[in-house]
Amino acid sequence: MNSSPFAYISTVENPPQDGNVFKCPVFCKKNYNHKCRDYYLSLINNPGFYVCPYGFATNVIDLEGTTLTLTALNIEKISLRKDVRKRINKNELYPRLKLVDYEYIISKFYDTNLPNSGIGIQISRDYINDIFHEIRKLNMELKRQSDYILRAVNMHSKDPVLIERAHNILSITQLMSIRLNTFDFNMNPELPFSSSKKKLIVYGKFEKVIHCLSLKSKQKNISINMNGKSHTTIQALEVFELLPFLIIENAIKYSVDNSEINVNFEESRDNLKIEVINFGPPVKSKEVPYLLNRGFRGENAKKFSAEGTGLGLHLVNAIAAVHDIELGIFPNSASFNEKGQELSEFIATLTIKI
Amino acid sequence: MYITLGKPKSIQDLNTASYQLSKPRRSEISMIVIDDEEVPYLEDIRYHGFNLSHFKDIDQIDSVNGFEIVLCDIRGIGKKFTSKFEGAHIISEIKRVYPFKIIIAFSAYTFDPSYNKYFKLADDIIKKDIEIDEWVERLDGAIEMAINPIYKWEKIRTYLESQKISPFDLIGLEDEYVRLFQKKIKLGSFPSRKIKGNLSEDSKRVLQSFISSLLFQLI
Repeated sequence: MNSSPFAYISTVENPPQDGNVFKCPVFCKKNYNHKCRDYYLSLINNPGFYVCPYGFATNVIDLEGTTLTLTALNIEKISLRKDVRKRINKNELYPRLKLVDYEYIISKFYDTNLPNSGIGIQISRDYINDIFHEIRKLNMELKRQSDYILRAVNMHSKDPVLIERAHNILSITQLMSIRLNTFDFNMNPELPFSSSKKKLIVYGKFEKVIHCLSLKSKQKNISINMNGKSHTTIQALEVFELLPFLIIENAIKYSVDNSEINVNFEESRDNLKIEVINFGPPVKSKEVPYLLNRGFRGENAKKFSAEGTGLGLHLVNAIAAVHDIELGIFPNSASFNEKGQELSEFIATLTIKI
Repeated sequence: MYITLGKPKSIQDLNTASYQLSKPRRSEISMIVIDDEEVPYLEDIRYHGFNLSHFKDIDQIDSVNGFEIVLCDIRGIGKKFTSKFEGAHIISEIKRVYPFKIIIAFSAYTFDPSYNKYFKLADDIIKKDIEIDEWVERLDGAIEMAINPIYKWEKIRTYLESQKISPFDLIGLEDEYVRLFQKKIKLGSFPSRKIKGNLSEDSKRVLQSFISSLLFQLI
């Protein structure tokens, strides 16, 4: 594709090309990096609007089977205004377009209408911000109330069923906090580096996450076994908690019902090795190099579970990297058939230097 | 050209067991939380022995003078300061006037990168929906920072560097600070008249309140 009014991606290996009308901002050309590459890789063949890690909008258009990736766009209510403004030189022609104007230009240029213009994205960013702020506050209140119920039940009723229910409510609120933290990390990846590292027990973080996810695993009748023991402590950022959460949640999501997940802890003199093993949809060998890419989901994974955004392992990789933890992903190529379902072993390992 | 005799003390000289200060009780460290809304678990936090006062807002930065640790919401406070950055502006003002205080940003807006500049000024960030055991852990962590003479010096050093203090005076100040903890010089001798003469009025004022904040550790 070499004819577009806006900057466009011809190959993910290179920075965007100039458009016929609007040039690609110098910032995008000079700073094209692995984050940009991973971002564009995750959009391939998925029509719609997206926001790149630096705040510019990207629009993937489907033109009768051929997809075009127009990018470095400055569109109202999609691009992040402040981010874009600070990355554009004053002498660059870069007007902020209304979505309707952008769509008009595209429809005239390609003689087509945009079927995937993503109406949802038109919701103001501020509105979304306020909603998330409110959810965190409500969750705080929910935690306080469920904590109160748990204490009262423990003190007065001692009914094991009620106690379990109260624990479940508390677990759900803890899960909601972790989910919101994942959202924070996704939206604001620089945030974790604003605070200092703190000492934490790795085993304890896995234990807590497994407890929080127990309702989810029970629904699929999956048992999660923690094998081995570890007292290893590390200096970690608060965001570390997402790492066990995302790995275990991924394992539950892609495990068959009535199966088990094994979490093995093996401590040696120099390191702590954690293995998370589950059985799920086979990963094709050609997909393996992309498993850690943002937004990537294997063909069988998509068929197996409608849930999932392809963010989990990408975030795990990012969190592991900032803590100098080695992440290994080993999908077993050998598969077997169980009750008409093709399954294979999936192993994720974390090696933490002590 | 300067010539000094002897080797000046370094802050790392305090990093030995003999200078580890005894841990104060939680109640001995005064903390303030500035939030226009109800503070979750406030009673439980106090029940755990923390000396935490709650202010819905403050009219002047000096209001935090008597507190070692300041927890500050990012939004909804600082009405009198009429800054659109609200609590974030308060954080930057506290950091400017009291660069040695432990500041904790307390917010539910942690997903918004436009606040990162202010989060970076804080020593820690607490999200609004943490549980009581995490509150206890984080506040204990804040106390540890507040009583760590090395951590506090590093904060004040960053401030002094931003004030363009000469490297020579900085080495001298660090030497005097270490001697203060080693009880080799008296409180009234810090900073020495020689160095004080080279400092800006702002730096003198900051060092004065810095020393007051250390009183409980030095006496």
